[in-house]
Formats: sequence, structure tokens, C-alpha cells
Amino acid sequence: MKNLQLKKLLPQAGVATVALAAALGLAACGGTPASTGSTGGSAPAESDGSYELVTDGALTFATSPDYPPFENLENGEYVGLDMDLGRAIAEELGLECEYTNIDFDGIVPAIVAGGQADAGLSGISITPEREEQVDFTDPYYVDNQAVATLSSNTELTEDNAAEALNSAEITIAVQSGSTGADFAAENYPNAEILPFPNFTDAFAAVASGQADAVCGNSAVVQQMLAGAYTDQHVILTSATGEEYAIAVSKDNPELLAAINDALAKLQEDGTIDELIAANMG
Amino acid sequence: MRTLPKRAAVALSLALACLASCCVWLALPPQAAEAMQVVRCTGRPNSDDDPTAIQGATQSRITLETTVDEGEGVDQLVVHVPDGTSFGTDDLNVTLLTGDDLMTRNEVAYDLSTDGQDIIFDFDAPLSQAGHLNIIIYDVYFPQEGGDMQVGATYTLADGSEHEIDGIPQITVVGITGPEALSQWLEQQEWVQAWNSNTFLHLFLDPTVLVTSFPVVLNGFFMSVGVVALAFPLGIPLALVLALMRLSKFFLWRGIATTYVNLMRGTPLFLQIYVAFFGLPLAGIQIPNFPLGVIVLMLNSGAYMCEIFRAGIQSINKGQTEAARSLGMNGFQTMLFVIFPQMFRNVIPNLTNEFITLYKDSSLLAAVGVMELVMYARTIVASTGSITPYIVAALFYLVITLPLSRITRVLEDRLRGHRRSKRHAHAPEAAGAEKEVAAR
Amino acid sequence: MSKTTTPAPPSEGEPIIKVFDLHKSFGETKVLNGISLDIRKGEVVVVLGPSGSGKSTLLRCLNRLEQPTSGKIIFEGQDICAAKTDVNDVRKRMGMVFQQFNLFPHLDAVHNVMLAQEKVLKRPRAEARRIALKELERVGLAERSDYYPDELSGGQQQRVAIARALSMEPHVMLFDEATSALDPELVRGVLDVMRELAQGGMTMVVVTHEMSFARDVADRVIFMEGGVVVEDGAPEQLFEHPKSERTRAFIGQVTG
Repeated sequence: MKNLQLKKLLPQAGVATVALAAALGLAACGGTPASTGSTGGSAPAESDGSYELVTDGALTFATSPDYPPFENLENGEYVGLDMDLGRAIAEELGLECEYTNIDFDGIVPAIVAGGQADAGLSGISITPEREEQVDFTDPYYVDNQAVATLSSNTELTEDNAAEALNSAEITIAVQSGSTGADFAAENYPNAEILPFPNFTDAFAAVASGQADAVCGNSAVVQQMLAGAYTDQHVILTSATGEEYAIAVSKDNPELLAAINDALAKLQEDGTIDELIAANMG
Repeated sequence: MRTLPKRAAVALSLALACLASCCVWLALPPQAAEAMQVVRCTGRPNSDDDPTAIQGATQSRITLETTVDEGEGVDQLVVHVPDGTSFGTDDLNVTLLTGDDLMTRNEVAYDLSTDGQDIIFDFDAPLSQAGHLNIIIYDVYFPQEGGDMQVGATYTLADGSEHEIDGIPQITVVGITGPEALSQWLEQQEWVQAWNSNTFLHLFLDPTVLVTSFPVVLNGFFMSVGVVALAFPLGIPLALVLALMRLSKFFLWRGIATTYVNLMRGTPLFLQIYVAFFGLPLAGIQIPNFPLGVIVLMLNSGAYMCEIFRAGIQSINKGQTEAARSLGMNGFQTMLFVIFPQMFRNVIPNLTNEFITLYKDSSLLAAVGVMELVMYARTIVASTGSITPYIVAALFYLVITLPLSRITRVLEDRLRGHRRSKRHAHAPEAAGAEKEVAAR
Repeated sequence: MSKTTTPAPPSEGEPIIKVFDLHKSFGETKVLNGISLDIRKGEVVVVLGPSGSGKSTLLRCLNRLEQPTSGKIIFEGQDICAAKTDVNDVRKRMGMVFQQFNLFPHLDAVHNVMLAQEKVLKRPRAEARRIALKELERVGLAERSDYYPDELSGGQQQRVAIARALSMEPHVMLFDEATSALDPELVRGVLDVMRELAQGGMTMVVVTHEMSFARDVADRVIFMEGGVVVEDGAPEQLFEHPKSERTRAFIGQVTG
């Protein structure tokens, strides 16, 4: 727990630290990824002890806590569906659960580089590009998308949203690299897509008239509208096929398997459904 | 299994509308012809160049969504994938979306077979629940040359009648771009694979990402350079006026300028950008992104350059002003023709630093949706998980900053040395000539 | 007395500058303590005195580079301290040469001389250049016209500064220790130029430590100390038969 508090004090280390860590790693092991072979062979008895962890006895997740209700910081506590799920997985594996705060676009690189976190748990959707960098566990959530606009907007309404959004006149704010960005690009190719690093700013862009609509995960959009942006409303929802999963380093297939086992158990005993109900209700 | 019992209050009116139409459907006979209608048929964009483009020979995904009517009884569905397009069948996703807002997922059980480009779904139980049938086909590779791709679909009802689903929109696929083709070629090369087997090189200098991100980040480079190339020169007159105000004897001018400079230098640029981009529009001032970015950076660098100019002016010997004034020049003429030219020469190194700082700071505009250098790179980083685009961005920064340092040095040398090199041969003559006159 | 545009210069022998009871303080420090004197047209007046006696301050008050604390200065019939007076108009009729030359380092010699002609007198560029070259010729530097100040020796710089002041066709020239910053071997060239200028009839007020110049060229020598004029007279009288003990001591010191 001390470690967790220490990490909270650290500034958003992000890419610089990843780079440093990677550079050090490169220097240390002469270009080969962490040499698990020599240590792995010595302990065949303990099957689930064969994976390596950044911190012994703890499962460290990289997360970008700006995406309620999946992950968010409340009074310094990590809350949300992903955060609850991470704790449940760690418990299944008999480990402490720790979170480290990394910008969304830095999470996958951090997992690849290693040393920062064991897995990425931050509403990450499975894409072919990301699969080239990391392994994904089985999905634990299937994404819904929502498009919201100002309630006072008469041009964009629930009745015409599907067609009206796909117009060169329309600017749709999204979070860069999110499923919302992909959804908007796939379904509204004629619209101008305006990406923001931070999802909150996409809503601010609609509020300030920089964008006509905002597109993103439905649960997140609902949460934002219920909070700071009550003058916006949802005009379209869509059940898409984007799947959220946990990213694990390709060098750590044992951990991947262990997390998948834990996920399967949590799925079976209804824990995941409970957590979804609790966080998305 | 993955039912999501979410009921959004905002969807209520939509729900009512759906309910009404359901009632209409219920009233109709169940075997309405052409009752399965296409809702959408899209391909997943997969190009780094253009976020909405679907290109050939690169992994994509087809999503086909059709309506299913109550009591329709769809027994079999055949989806015809466009010719020349390869696809995977291991990971198909077939879901029936039901409920008032069509947000409830129902997994559909089926037997799968393929026949050439046809994917045949034999449903275990005929589909009879009103909703949207959503089929996602993964591992799709459209033909390399691109073109308009027509997905076809036919369904068989329980009574054995076959129907075609009309009006499925075409998917426009563009030919693979040069960089993407190069990237894919590189991916096949042994040395690239060896290179990428090193985690560090793979993450930071992946050749396949390098070639695709280069042209994309280049767009941002032009944007960044454009913003700074306007903001910096525009900031100079502002800074000069502020500097003169700060040096003014009149306390009001001094107060205004000092307050402005302290405010701009004392708060993060990031905050100023937020205020300008989200605050001004709320105050009813609508300015497009690009000019607004230019204005904010101009206002900010104006404050920093004001201090550079002020120090530059103060460093100039008082005698220069006295000499100019003793010749009858007024204060303005003295500034313009005597002080400023000397001051500019002295502050070139500081101005260069300020330019470089401003150029790098322009990346902060990414936070508010200005598509500059870092934002383009970030978008690719976020979607690929490779750091390489940032390295490409770094190269684009160096492309400006390195030559600039060099040019500045040359400029300084030239201003200090005037045309001395030309006259170097005569130089010792100066003292000799003096003696000549003295001896006269 | 009319305070309108440039009055006609007084004829030979008439006072061109009149100073009445001039006081100047810098904060608590009193530098000038009631100076009154007349300078006549065509007269060469040399001001002597130990350092800190107020000579330079007096000179700088004459063209209002310093603002007098009290007293009056009348130049060509015009009160230069009056609120209505355009000080720039006064200054363009009064040339000044500084101890540190104060050439503009970013301009070559000819442009140093041209600048104020163009900006203040509004002379066309070609005319300004012609006059500049003529003045540079007069100080013996025609062939150095395209040299920058840092390519010139101190003496050459000072002569360019003189040419610069002369190009404005001033009615009076003020020299503020014009040779004090020069290496000894370079002093002579500057003094020669000043001597020629005096012989040409220019009204000059010269603050200097060059006793030979004072003796040979001055029409009148003023000895100052402690912010007051101690003695005022012809050079022979002042150097040979000083009335005041303090003058005698000073002259003994610098010539002895």
C-alpha cells in the first residue's frame, strides 16, 4: 500500500519514463527481452508461480484514470469497472492489486517496454494494430457507443442523427485512439473528426461550439452528461462489436493465461456482471 | 450472455418511437417480403494517413447490420463477401440486438459453412425476434487495388423461400498508399523482423510504423510551422510595444504592461490555451482553431519577448540616446533608428531561444484539438501502441531547431563582423592613417 | 521676446546664449549653484575646472540633456526651458560632441552623419549624403566613409562625431571633454579639427583639460569650481594673472 501511495505522488511519468525504462532495459540485457528462461526452468512444481511481476506479490495495472465509469480517481482512490475488475483478478490470483497512472496512449508502449506495469487495464479495445504490440486477454466488456450534442441543437436530433452526422458540415469530437474515434470514422466518414487527448475536453469542445457532437463509449458519455455537461443529450446509441480486454506483454504468456483463468471464473460466478451492473447502473 | 441491462433516461423518446413501430409490425402478417432490410454495412478504417479511409491489403473488418421482423423466421443467411477479399471465419461475431433501444445483445447460435466468397449461417432456431442482426467479419483484407466493394446477402425463411437483401451500401476501398505498401513489404523482410525482435527498437524505431507515420506527421509539421511562423513575427511588434510601455515614465502604461507580462509569464501556457479555446466561445467570441492558436501563442510569446526587448533596450548605452537626442531626434525616432537596430542585434540569441521554445510549445495546442505535429503522432501512437510516431515527431522538431541554431550563429557573426572580412587587409591602416592626420 | 520659430542668429558680438542664475541638483547633491554668463556669437569659450566642478553639467543644461532645477537659459532669444519650447528644435541648432563619441555602432560613418539630416532636417537622401561626405572631408575622413565605428580608431570616431554634429549646421557647438577618452597620440587630430572650426568662426563652448588649446584658441576662459564660476576672462589674463587663489592653484597643478 505504501507503494501505491508513493506512485500517486509521482507526476504523470508517461512516455519519458517509459523511454528511460526501455533504454535502461536495452542497456541492461543487451537487446534481448527479459531473460525468463533460466529462472523459469528451475521451478516446475508451482505452475501458477511461473509468471514474472514488476513487484513481487502484487499485480500492477497501468491505467489512465480519466474515463469514468471505467476508471477514475475519486478522492485519490481508483474507482470504476476496470478498477474493481483488477482488484477481483488480483484476489483470484492471490496478489495485491496496484495501479499506476499512465496517459492512455502510453499504456500499450509501457506494457511493451515492461518494468512499469504487468498489464494494461484502461478500457482498451482490441485492434489488429495493438495486437501486434501486445497480447490481449479474453474480452470482459463489449462496447456501446453514444453520440451526444447540445440539447439546444435543433440541427442534430434523435430522429435524423444517423444521416445528419455523416455530413461534411459536422464536426465530431472524440478521444484520440478511442473506440469512439473508430466508430465515428467508420460510420460518419464525411464528418470532420476532431480528436482530443483527454475525453473531457471533447465535451468542453461541444459546450464551447468547437464541435457539433461528441462520440464515445456510451457509459462514459452518460456519466459525463450526468455530471458536468447537463446541457447536452444523447441523440444516438449503437451496440458495436468493440471488445475491451486487458493488455499483457507478449513476453509474459503465463500471466496472460492466469488472467484469462481468473476472468473465466469471474465470468462464471457472475462477478463481472455484478461489477458492470454496479458501475454502469 | 453479455446482456447489458442499461436503461438510459435519454433514450426514452427513442424507445417510444420504437414501441410504436413494433405495434405496427405486430399488426402486419409475419411473412412480409423484403422484411430484412439493411441498416448499415461498413468496413473498419485502417489507414494511418486518413482516419476514415479503408484501404486494400490491410486488415479490416466488415460490419453488416440488418433488421429482423417479429415472427419472420429466418432460417439461413448467406453473406457474400466481395470478390477478391479474404476473410477469417474463426472469430465471427453474430449478435441479435433487441430491446426498445436495440442495445440488448443476444448471441445467435448457428452452424457455419463457407462456399467460396459465401459465408453461410444456418441458424439453430429461426430468427423471429424483432431487432437488428449484427454480423461482424474479422480478418478482412480487401483487394490491394481498392474499389467499391459490394457485400451481398440472401436469406431463406422457414418456408424455404429465398430473398435477397437489397440496397446494401457499397464499401469504398482505396488503393493501398505508397507508405503503407512499403510498410507491409518491410514487415516481410527478415532484417526488419530481426530488428523488431529487440523490444526497444520495436517500440521506438519500428521501420514499418516509421514509414507510415512519416507522411501523416508531416501534415502536423506544416501545421506547427504555420502556427509558429505567424505567431512569432506577430508577437514581435506586440513585444516591442509592451517593452516600451514597461520603460515608460507614465505609471499607467507601465502598470498595464507589467500586469500583462506577469500574467502571461506567471501562468501555464496550457491554461491560456484552455481559456482561449473553451472560454472565449462561451463569451460569444467564435474564432476558428488555426487563427486562435496563432493568437494565443502570439500573446504568450509577446510577453516573453517583451522582457527580452526590455533587457535589450536597457543594455544599450545611455550615450546612444543622448547622442541621438542632441541631434534633435525625438524619442520615437531615437527608438526606431538608433535603439531598436542595436537592440535586435543583441537579442538575436534570446529571440532564437524563444522561437525554439514557442515551436516546441505549439505541441500544447494538441490538447484542444489543433491538429499539429504531436497530435498527429499521438493519434497513431494511441491506435498502434508504438512510440515510433513520437520519434518521427522529434525528427520534425530537430529539422527546424538544429539549422536554426546554426543560422543564428552565422547571423550573429555577420552582424558583429559587418563586412570586416572584405576589409581585413586594410584594417591596420586605420591607426596609421590617424597618425598621418595627427602629423599634419 | 518672441518664442516662435528659429530666430535669426544674432550678429557678431551679440550674446547667442544667456544663462541666468542656473541651479542644478541631483537629489540632495547640488552641482550648479547659480551660474550666470553670456556667450557671444563667434566666441570660443573654454570651461576649465577640477572634476566634479559642474562643467559638464553646465554644458548638458545648455541643450537640456539635463533639466535645470532653476534659472533661465536664453538661446537665440528663446527660453529653452519654457514649456512651449520644442527642445528638438533647439537641439538641432546646437551640436554636441561627447567624451565617449557615441557614434551609432550599427551604421557606417557616412550613415552616422546622414541619419539626423534625413530624420530631423528631412533632407533628401542624396543631399544628406553629399553633405555628409563634405563634412567627413572637412574632418579628414572622406576615405573612411563606409567604415563602421568599431573599425575606426578613437580619434577617427570622434572626428566622425564632429562631422555628424556639423552636418546639422548648428549655430553653437558644445564639446564635452572631447579628447579625454583618447590615447595621447590621437588627441592632436581632434584638436586640429576643433581649431579649424574655431578659426572658421563657429561659436563653441568647450569643456576640456587641454590647456594648450585653451591658451591658443579660446577667446575666453571660464574657471569653475564647486558649481560656481570662479573666474571669467581672456586666456592670457587667466593663465598669467589669475585673480583668484583657487584658479592659480588649479592652473599651477595642471600645467606644473
